[in-house]
Amino acid sequence: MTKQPKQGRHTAGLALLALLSALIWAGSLLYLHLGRGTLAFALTDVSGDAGKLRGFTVPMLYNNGIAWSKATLRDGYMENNVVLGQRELGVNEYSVYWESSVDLVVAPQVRAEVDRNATAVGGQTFDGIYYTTYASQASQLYEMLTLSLPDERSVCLQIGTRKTAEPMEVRTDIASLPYDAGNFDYVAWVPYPGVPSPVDSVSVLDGEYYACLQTGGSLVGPGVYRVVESLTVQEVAALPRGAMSGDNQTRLGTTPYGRVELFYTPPDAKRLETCFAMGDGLAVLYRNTQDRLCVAVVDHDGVCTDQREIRQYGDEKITVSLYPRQSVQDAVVKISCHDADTDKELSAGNLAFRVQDGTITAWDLCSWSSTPQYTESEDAADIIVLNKSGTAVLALFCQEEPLTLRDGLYQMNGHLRSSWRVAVYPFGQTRAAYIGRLDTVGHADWHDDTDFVYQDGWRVVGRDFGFIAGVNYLCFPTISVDRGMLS
Amino acid sequence: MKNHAFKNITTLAGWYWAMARKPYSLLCALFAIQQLAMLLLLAASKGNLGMGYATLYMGGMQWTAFGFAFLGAGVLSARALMQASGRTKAGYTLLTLPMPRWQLLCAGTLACAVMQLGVVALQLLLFFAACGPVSAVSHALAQTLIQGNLPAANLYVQLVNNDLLVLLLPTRPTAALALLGTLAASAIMLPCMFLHRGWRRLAAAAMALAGAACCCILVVGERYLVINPNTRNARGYCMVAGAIALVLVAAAWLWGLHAVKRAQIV
Repeated sequence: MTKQPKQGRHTAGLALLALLSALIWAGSLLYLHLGRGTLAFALTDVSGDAGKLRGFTVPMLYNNGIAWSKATLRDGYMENNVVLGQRELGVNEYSVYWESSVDLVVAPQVRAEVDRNATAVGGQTFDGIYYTTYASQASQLYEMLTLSLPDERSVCLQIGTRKTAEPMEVRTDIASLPYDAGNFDYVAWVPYPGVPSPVDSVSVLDGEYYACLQTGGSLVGPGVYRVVESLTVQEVAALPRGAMSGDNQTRLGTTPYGRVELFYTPPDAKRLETCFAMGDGLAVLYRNTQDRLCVAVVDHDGVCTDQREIRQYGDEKITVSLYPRQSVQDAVVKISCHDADTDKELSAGNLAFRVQDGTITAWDLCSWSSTPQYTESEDAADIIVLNKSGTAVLALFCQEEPLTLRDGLYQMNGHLRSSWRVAVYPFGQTRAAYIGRLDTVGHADWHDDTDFVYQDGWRVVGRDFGFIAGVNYLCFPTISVDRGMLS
Repeated sequence: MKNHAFKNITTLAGWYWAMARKPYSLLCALFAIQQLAMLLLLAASKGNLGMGYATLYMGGMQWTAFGFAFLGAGVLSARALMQASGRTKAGYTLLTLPMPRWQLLCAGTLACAVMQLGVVALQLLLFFAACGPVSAVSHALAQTLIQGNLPAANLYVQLVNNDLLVLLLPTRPTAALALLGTLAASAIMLPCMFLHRGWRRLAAAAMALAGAACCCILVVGERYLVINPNTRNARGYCMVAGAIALVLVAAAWLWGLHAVKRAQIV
């Protein structure tokens, strides 16, 4: 039986459903907006004088799904701002893509002979085109450095020549279609990870790119090189093909393109460690001929305006990494010392400095960070910033609590990222003058660094698994590309 | 006259509701029970240890379940029209109602929109209600296996991490527009489908399917554009999808009106 349309009762039922649904929807929407305060950061004093926080500004970002907690610790006060549905802004923008590689290309004088002796050893299809691989032997090679810049242009230069006692295997890939065979030449086949590149970083200064060559080669010394001329992908493809690989015309891989010029190199440099934009110019960290690690401040004409020695090293390997930066005047670098043979981290320490008008105005070797425990990653700071007066640093450490998983005979240790430790160290002191605890909501973030991974409650798996920076982890906005940092 | 039209439409929509409310209630109950059961089951499983409520929700196919319930509610809202097919009492009632034909369509749209909104509200309610019990089960399981202090679940954190719910609760005007557009499009196209018979209904269903695809592109594309504002062509795809959806909705409406006027329903 079907009902007849009757006014009133049924309409009221539908109206009630509409009203209730609309109320629930509106209420949920309201909760989504008004509940944002849940994600606010909170700072609790643990010990020391909270007044020591004066002069520090630390912007932070924490992402929870569509919510972005943008908090700033300013002069000891937490300024919270939670926004919904916005894209990630200003975080990790410095990690712009640049790439460098070194190829050992067959020297032009022996190229014809190498090509004559080449035999087909295999092939592969790439993008629908079949490439035949030809292999040959050569002992005279050119070291060609190709630098791909963030603007998708590239430059190629010869940094050295190499003559090997034993001939090396060289290979080329020849496309089945002649028009596509322009970009290959006979290159020495070096197993992964290939020939190490001497380029440590690419910095931007006044819109120009500066590449830091740590070691250089037999033709080019270590130094900071300014890119004067670079080519687009199309321009590289259109370069003349002056050589033959079998029946195909090939661009001679030993012909450089683009142009770089030496901008600055310390006169006593043995090896450059890194280079980054600093003040109006660049800061160059290098090891001199006496194995002392030094900093040189260089203006935009390539003139050194200030210089300091950091410390003496032996023959250990040094790696230098930058902490996120808030201003181009300040930089804090982590200097790790590794055993040259085993690559084991022997010690680590931080250097904080400030450059104003070409002069180093604040300088601290963060003696608190030179303790043996500091080399253990759990204890290393995630960010270190200088205060306004340049007399102290503030460091943030992620706190991890141990967890043990037991399932029958199966046992595994893990940890929980629970909160952050805020510590203020006046220059030259090993003890913190202030310690605080920073809580970020949503730290239900448990994982293990080894075989199994606890999902964090949402979607990320541990910081050692290549997670997307910013998802459920505290991020520290750093100065962006145009302010000069790409390394 | 306007009041008259409003009264006609609401009365008829009420009748559609009366025809559909029993199967609709059943659908809602089934949806709620399966969701609760699925989430509790997943939370109690060792394999999901450490997964939050939002992750369990997405992992438990509740996205899809919601989609089916939403679609099901739309189809059920047209139960009166389904029963009106052929020489039935309902068909006779519909065709002899003393009101302009377009009001018939409006009533169908209204009933469909309200019933689909009901499913949205039910999903929101379920999410809030089940957070406590599901998190408690997860937590209890974790406590038996893990030694150490585990963090407590936070409802708000789970809400902002649930990919479906953040679509249902838009935070940007464009997202709200895309969501309302989707709701309107389905509320217009679904009842219109049941005004046709035979191959025509099949064609109308194909149109509705294409419209649904366009709406999906709009809702997902809007969010994508916010995250990747500089993506080439993405804005263009969204505009084209929106335009096609508009044309499809207009065509479905006019075709449905034509069918009612020519009494093709019987």
